[in-house]
Amino acid sequence: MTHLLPIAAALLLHGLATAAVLSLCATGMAVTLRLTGFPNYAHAVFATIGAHATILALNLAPGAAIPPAAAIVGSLAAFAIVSVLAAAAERVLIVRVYDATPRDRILFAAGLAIAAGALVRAIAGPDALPAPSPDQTRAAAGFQAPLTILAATLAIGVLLWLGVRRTRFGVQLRATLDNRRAAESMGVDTARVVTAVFALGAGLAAAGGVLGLTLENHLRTGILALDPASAARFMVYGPLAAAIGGADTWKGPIAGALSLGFADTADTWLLPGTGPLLVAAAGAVLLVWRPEGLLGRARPAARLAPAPPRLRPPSFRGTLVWAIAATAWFALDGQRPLASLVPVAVLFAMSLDLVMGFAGVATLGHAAFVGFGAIAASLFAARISPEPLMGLVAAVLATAAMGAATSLVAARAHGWTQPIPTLVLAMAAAAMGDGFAPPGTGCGIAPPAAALSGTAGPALSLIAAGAVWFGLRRLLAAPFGEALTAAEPPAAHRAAAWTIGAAIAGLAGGLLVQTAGFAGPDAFGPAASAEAALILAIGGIGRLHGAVVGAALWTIGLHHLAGPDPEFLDFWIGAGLATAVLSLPGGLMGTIEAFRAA
Amino acid sequence: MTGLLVLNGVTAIDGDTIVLRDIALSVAQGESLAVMGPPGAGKTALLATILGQTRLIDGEIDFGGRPIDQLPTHRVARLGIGHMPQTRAIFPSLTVEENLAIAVRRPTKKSDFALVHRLFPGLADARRRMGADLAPGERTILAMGRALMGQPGLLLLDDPLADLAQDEIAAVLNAVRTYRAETGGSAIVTGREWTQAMAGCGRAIAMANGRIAGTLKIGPKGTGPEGAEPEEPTPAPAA
Repeated sequence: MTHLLPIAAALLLHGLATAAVLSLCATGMAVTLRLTGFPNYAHAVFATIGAHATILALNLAPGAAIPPAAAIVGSLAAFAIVSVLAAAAERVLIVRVYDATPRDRILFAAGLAIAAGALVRAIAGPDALPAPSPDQTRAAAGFQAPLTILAATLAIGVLLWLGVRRTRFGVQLRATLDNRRAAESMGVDTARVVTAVFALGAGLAAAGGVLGLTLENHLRTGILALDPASAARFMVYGPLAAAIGGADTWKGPIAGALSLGFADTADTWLLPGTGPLLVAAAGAVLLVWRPEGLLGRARPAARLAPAPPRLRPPSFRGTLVWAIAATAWFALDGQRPLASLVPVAVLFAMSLDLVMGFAGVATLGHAAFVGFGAIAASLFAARISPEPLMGLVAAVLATAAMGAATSLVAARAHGWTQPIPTLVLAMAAAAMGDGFAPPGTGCGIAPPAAALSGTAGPALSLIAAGAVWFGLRRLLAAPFGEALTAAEPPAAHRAAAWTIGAAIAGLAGGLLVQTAGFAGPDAFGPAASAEAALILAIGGIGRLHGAVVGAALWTIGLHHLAGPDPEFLDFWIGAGLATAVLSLPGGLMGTIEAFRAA
Repeated sequence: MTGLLVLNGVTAIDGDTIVLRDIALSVAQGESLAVMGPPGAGKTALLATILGQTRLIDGEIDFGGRPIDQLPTHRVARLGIGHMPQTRAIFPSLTVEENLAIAVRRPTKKSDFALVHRLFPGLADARRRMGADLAPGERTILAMGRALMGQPGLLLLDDPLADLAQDEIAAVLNAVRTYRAETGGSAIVTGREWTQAMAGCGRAIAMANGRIAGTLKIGPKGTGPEGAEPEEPTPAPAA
């Protein structure tokens, strides 16, 4: 009995310390969200930046352990530097998105998060991590490091509380949160309040990242682990902490951070090696159950952008034009790799348009279904039959079942938290893709042999894309489409659209793995979902032909320019998404429509 | 036109709706203007436009001899415009005292609190209560007191006597009177029809559909437009 007490105390402390670091990230994000409606999915990236900057600095004196005092000094420095940078970013960049629709704000934030994560990865690199030496681990294994984190966070918390309760700025902040318009008419410079809060929140996140470094090494296999993927993971866990607690209250982010912190500690101690995905999945389930969070007060609206106009059934002329374009595309050279890549991208983009544009579910994890489809098709080819058409049917059926099983995510999607469960789905698909890696390659999945060689792949892809386009046009013109494009579509219709979208994405995944002979887990993760969102943002969301045009332009452009280093592609996807959302509202098709109307 | 506040050919939109059309008016130093009209006539929009909370698509607004139509709202307020919104807009998470202190039209002085507490002794007693806990009448009183903070040169009072009991009405009227007497400030007072709060207003305008429908001279007793000679025929008030 007596020997259990220290373990329990250590677990408690580690849970609290993890929660402390997370709460520093979540609070800043939540207050900015309440002030401006901007869900900064990139907020926790500031924590990664702080941590990586510290590691780079420590590497100047390699081998040294991280003493708690140095962590506090480093936190202060990180706080100051990141605050200034964040204030500049808010004033120059983020201020432009405050007037956009909530969906565009989410896409913009996701673009920023992905670009920032890729930048951190490119600059810091996997080698910048301190080698986990046993000495370091033992030095931090006592209570000292968690106690330092707790003490520092409590001090910060008390200072913040006093600042909000007792200072002139705190009064202005609370007034702006209550009623921004009235605060302005009383002479409060609310834009300055927003910038200050953004900078403060970013600085606190950075300080939290530095403090988190002192945590015992084995804990750093959990949420706070600093590896090349940490920025992408922080994009999920920072918002998750704010979301499951309830971002519209002061206590919510702290409650969320505590839940996540203890869940993560329990997970890393009891189920070592499962990684933080399990914790994320639990959080996602919680959000599906309560989209406003545990302590959240108001359940926000489901649809985050105006419903698109209802589509007309496909005309004979329109069908003919698309058929001629597809035939010409095939005739150009049905052997090129692009010949099937473009229709596959079109399929994927159309399926995302059904889910995001029409059903209004802001998903950042739709690529998961491409992954599930690819996995299903290659499993079918390896275990049951190499027949490609049967494999495609298997992929569609499997992803439709997967979509139906996860359709509660769409049916219950509300407000800014709705991408989070979808992000978790994408992480799961990427992890599964890793698990199904063919022996010796280390990543990705592949059928035993490229099933569709020569012109068969492109031909089949084109036919599939055409058939899906025709079918979706019919579906969206039918009463189902009318109900789906209502201001608040019925939950059952959203779930159905989600399932159909999953099946179409699964078809794209099956085709992808069969024509390319390979599909890496990169194609299933959040960045691939953001790539599809970028395609829609270029072409125009909620139009269907925007998906076709955007997919063709992006895929062909990427292939021919081939400029971006594939390692750095995520950065261009993220930056492109943020830029497209800002500068091309309605996409190319929307711009053309506006030009015609004028 | 010259004056403390001058609006010239102002047309403004809020969202996609035109809320004011071709408004021209002027308020001189020390003068008070009554604005009457049915709901939706544009009274509140007029005050919001002065504060820069709608989008001007035509015309200009000067205050104290300088153009203010390009300034952000908080800068306009800080020039010395005290606003008592129609919704009262008391901040629920702020105490009564903080609700007063938030008004940063000019650097807040002790004397501001002294004046407000003298006019509304109840606010001094309630200074630690939260805005969320106030009764509707108390909110109106607090909004009135808040508008006086920083000794604004111009008061914008949006239907100041709505939802008030008799003694509260007396307190608000006394506050407006004292403000005018002690600071020589100007005011714009709105209401559906002539109210006691408009006593002392030298002129009254009637608004309808976002336009100024007519101007009325007020008799020397300041008892209302009855018996006054309209400069233009006034339209029948729309119920």
